[in-house]
Amino acid sequence: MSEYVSRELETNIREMKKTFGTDGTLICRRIQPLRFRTPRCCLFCIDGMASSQLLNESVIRPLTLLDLQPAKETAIADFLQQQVLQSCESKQERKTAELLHALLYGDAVLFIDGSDCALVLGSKGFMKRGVTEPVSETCLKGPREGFVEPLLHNLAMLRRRLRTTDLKLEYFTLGTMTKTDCCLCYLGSCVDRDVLECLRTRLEQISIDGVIDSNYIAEMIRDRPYSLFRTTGSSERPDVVAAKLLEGRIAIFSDGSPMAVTVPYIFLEQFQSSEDYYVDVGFAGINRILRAVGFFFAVSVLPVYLSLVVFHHAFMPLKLILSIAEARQDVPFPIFLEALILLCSFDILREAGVRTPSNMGQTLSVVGGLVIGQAAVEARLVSVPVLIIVAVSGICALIAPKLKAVTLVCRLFLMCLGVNFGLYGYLLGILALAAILSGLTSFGVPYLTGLPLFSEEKSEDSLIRPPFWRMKRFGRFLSGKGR
Amino acid sequence: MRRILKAVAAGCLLTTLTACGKDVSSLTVVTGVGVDGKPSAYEVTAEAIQLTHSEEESKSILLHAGGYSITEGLDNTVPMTGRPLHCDHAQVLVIGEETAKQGLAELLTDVLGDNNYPVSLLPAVSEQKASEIMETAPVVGTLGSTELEHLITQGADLCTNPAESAASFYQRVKAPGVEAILPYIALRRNGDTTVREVAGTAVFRDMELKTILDPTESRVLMWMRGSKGGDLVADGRLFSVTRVRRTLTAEAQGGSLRLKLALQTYVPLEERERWSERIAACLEQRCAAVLKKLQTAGCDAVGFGNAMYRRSYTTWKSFKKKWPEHFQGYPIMISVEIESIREGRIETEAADERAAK
Repeated sequence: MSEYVSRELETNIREMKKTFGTDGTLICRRIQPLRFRTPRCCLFCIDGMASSQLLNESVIRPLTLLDLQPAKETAIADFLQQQVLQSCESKQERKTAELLHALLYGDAVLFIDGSDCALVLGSKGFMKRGVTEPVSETCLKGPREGFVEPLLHNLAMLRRRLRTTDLKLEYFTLGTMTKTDCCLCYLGSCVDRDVLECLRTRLEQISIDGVIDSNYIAEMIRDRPYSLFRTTGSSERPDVVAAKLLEGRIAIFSDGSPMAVTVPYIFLEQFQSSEDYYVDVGFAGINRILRAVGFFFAVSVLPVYLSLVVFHHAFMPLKLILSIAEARQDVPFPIFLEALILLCSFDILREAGVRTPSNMGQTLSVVGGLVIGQAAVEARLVSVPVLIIVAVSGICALIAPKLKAVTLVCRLFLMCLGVNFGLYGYLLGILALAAILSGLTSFGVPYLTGLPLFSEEKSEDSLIRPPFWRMKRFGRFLSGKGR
Repeated sequence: MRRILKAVAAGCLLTTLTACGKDVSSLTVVTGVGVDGKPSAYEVTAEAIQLTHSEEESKSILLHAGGYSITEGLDNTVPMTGRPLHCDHAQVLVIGEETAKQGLAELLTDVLGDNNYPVSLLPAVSEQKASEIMETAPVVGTLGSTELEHLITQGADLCTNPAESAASFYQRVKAPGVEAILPYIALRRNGDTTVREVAGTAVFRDMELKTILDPTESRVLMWMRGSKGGDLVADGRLFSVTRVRRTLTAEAQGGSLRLKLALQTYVPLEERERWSERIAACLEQRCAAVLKKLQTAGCDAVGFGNAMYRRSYTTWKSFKKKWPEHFQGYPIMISVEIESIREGRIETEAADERAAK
């Protein structure tokens, strides 16, 4: 297809049909006014993507019933755009690539005979999901609105919360095939310019065929893509994203994804929940600490248990050691394998529970509970203490869902160290994790920012949320300057 | 990518490594050790737990073996069970009287030098052979060692016997001017059954057993060593000793020694004037009897030498070498003061006046 729109209508129609080939969803509608021979036009749109009702009423009817002729000095495209068509969104475009992009995104393209530009008419009418409560970030108190797939709807939800001209929205397109519309959002007075420049540079360097979800972008702009610890955040709650923008962070939206990516992202955010800000201060603080302790327990309980059972018998009281020894007496597997089997079973059940349709969930829990809980113990495949420890570890892992992958891998890593080198190995593993965390940065911001022991910066909102009257300014934390 | 592969390889290697540790279910858990015989030819009796299914209560088994040291003796029991011994949860170390008389230095060095024993291991001396004590079935529960541990700690609470861990005992032995003591266990007939009981205190000198004190004497010795608790029977009435403050004086006066023991005892008392003097006299008499016994054995278990060592090191240096002889050779002045505690009363002038009337 030629690069620019031709003045001849037939050429344009031929080119368009040639481009789309056998695609049956392309609608081509020739329009000519009843009373005049000109202007002859052709409307192109994609079936199912564009609203036919809107096009009928705002484009086809006015053009068919046209009873005016343009002045000689007025361009025909200007005449139609300004005086005839009743479309809210319309623009003139000469480049065929842009026309195709708009057409494929639900807009209609009107070619006019004798004009070297076509009109792009906003007519998006594809089906979309309604606004629902976010599944991944449920909360009992606070807003229950979640992002949806269309980009503009998400931006509207965000704008409704941040009614300021300071909110900057920068559009860009990613994906050579998908041409996904994306948007960079930040508050101009809160954002750290260095972080913004760094992000822009990384976004410019992205070269990918398609961006289906915002995680595609997140993975490509991360500081250390192979690191277990995510250095980019994500949320499907408009309230959370708005609060993060107020703190000086930057959000990236991509069309077709209900998740917004936020940067920079620090370790402490993994223990924070939107509900922390909608409940009492004390309760929120306790919950945050519980999440941190839960994560520590999830990672440590099993390795410490293995260390004690294999190496440090003296640390256990006599009754406990006897209880464990008796329970393990007839188990045919080494304790590490026993724990690994149970852990894998637990994670398989967890994953299956997420993927299984809700009506199968009950069956799954019954089968899982019976097989893992009772039958395995009665068959002496596993011992009760390990079952309890794995259950504790698994439940503790659920308390900090954002660290699910980290917990899974770290627990296994520490288990290996614990079972081979005892508590010394476990402690070395913890030190190694602390060292890795200390070395991480997210867009130049140290990953452990806000943690008293690891960071020089004093954060107001860290492991314990202070009352709002003490958090005088949002944004001071990350941008370093506030408003 | 290479780094990831290396990490995965390291992970696989770690999971397949054979751990140097031992699974707890593959061990024989020893709860108590009895030692008879003499140095270099010990007879060891170990009480170990026979693991059963969770529904049943654990049973104990006794393993007998001889060896050059306790460790070797215990090692010699391994072929009987086929499992390595786990002594970290041993609760008591029962030493036969004959073995104790020959000295505990080698035995304790062996036990304390081996990191396989817990620091809380309670040593005790037995009237009979240690193996007999270990073989006697417990009255309550299934573990004889646990019963013995309870007997010793309970006795320590009532001030009828000491309860010092092996490490603490060894430390006490090394302290200058004070001799170590251990609980003394004996078998008694109780109807048709034989039961174990703590029958007093074994007093040592230079780690060798010298004399035995019965429970009444033990209690007095414990008070003289500053322990509190227990009851005192005077003139047919029972008094609780809630607190004891002791002051030891050991001074050199022109080449001779002046030893003095001052005991301030706190007793809940209703009729102070009537009882305090009687209790003081009774206690003084008992202290004198116990001290006499200790002097005869040459065991300064109260710690006069230690008091001298603390107050005047130069004097102690001149007496140190022949301290047992010095301790035996000089009389000890005893003064007992009874402090009455009137429980539940408010100390006011009016109350004192009423008491005076």
